[in-house]
Amino acid sequence: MDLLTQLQDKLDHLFLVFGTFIGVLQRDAPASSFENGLLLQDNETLSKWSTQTKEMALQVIETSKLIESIIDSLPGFNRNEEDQYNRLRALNDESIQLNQTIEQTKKDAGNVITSQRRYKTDIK
Amino acid sequence: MAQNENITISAFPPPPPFYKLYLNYQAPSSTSSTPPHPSVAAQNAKNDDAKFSVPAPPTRSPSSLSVSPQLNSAQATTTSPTTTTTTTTTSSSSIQLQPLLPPLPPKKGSTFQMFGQHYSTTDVLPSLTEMGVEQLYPNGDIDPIKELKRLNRSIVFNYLQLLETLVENPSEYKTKVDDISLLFVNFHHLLNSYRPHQARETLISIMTEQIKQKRESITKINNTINSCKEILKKTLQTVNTEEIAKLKQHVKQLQEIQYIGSTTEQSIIQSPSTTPLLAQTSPITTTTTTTTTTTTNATIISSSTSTTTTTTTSNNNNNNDQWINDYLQKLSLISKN
Repeated sequence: MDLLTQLQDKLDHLFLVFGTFIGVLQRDAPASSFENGLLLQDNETLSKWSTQTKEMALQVIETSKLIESIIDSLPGFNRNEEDQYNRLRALNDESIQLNQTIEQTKKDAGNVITSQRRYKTDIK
Repeated sequence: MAQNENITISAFPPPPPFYKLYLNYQAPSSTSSTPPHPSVAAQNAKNDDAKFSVPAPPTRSPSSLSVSPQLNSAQATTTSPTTTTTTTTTSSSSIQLQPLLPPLPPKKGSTFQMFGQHYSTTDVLPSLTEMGVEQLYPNGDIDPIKELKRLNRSIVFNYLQLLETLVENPSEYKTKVDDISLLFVNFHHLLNSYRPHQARETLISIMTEQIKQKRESITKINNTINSCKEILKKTLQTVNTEEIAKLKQHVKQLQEIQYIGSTTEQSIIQSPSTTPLLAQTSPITTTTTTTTTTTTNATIISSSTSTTTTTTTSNNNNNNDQWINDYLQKLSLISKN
């Protein structure tokens, strides 16, 4: 898959992660008291919840870092459109010349084969 | 199906118009339930297909068909009960289509229809302002990598702000969600605007790789040709030198044999026993080819007889001469080539 598509996919994944984690926070967050803000859950549940929130935060940060690394690896931004078209024209001309060279080389190879066959019949 | 302006709305495209050319086609009439006569069907087809006037398929009889592909030609066609007819229109705007050939591609700048949707041949990405969205990055020449990174960090920062808003003032979540959406739209639009650039870069890399492969194949073929030529030269040289050496040896031996034969003739005429000279020839004969061995054997045999010796040796000598001449001719051909 090309890099731009990977980048777009990762961006969509980041958006999905945002929505998912907000939903998880809203659904699974432990209850707390209205009076002094103390959490009403036991320590085990709280520790599990803190681990879960850390993992979610880590996932958001990792996705964001991955997007940055893909952005850094995007190639060819040093050329503008005109440079690209000039390069394509040069490559096209070179390709045409090489095609002619290949045709000539094939003819030479054919000549060698026919001369070899002639030598073979003469020797016989 | 809507019948206004001949536009049909369907998930599937309509069939190409030249299906009406084929045998036993009868166009359905909207006014009558019975199918019309083929000549009427042809006329309907002519009226319907003003843009496409097609020549007849090759399976029909020439007398009943008009097969001229030229524009502005009108030929009357005869009808038969089993065949439908085609006519070429005189309209200067008619497009001639051979059956089963694909239609011409649309001109640059025009639109075409595919599965009910209209598409343009010029594929231009509309700008964000045209789509009614605020553009967060500047126009003109920009550093795309820098802008993309900036947008990425803004997205994460706005997400944190959204979380804080949800904690402190949950009713005002919408503005932050819209900000995050705007950032994502800008990010995607910036990536989409670099698709043509990516396509050109991909083409450049593909062409570079093709050129590299062509160069490699040229060098391989040239190396193979050179090695073949060297091998051929070596083999020809060895063959020629060996053949020439053999020929020379044969010629010497045959000359000796001829000399011996001539001496034996004389000796036979004088006396029947001529062993010493023949004894000398025997070691040579063992190393020669079978023909020379047979001739020398013939000469040895001839030495023991009295009357048939001379004729046998003379015939063998004539054969040897002819063989030598043939061999010399072959060798000259080889050396010329």
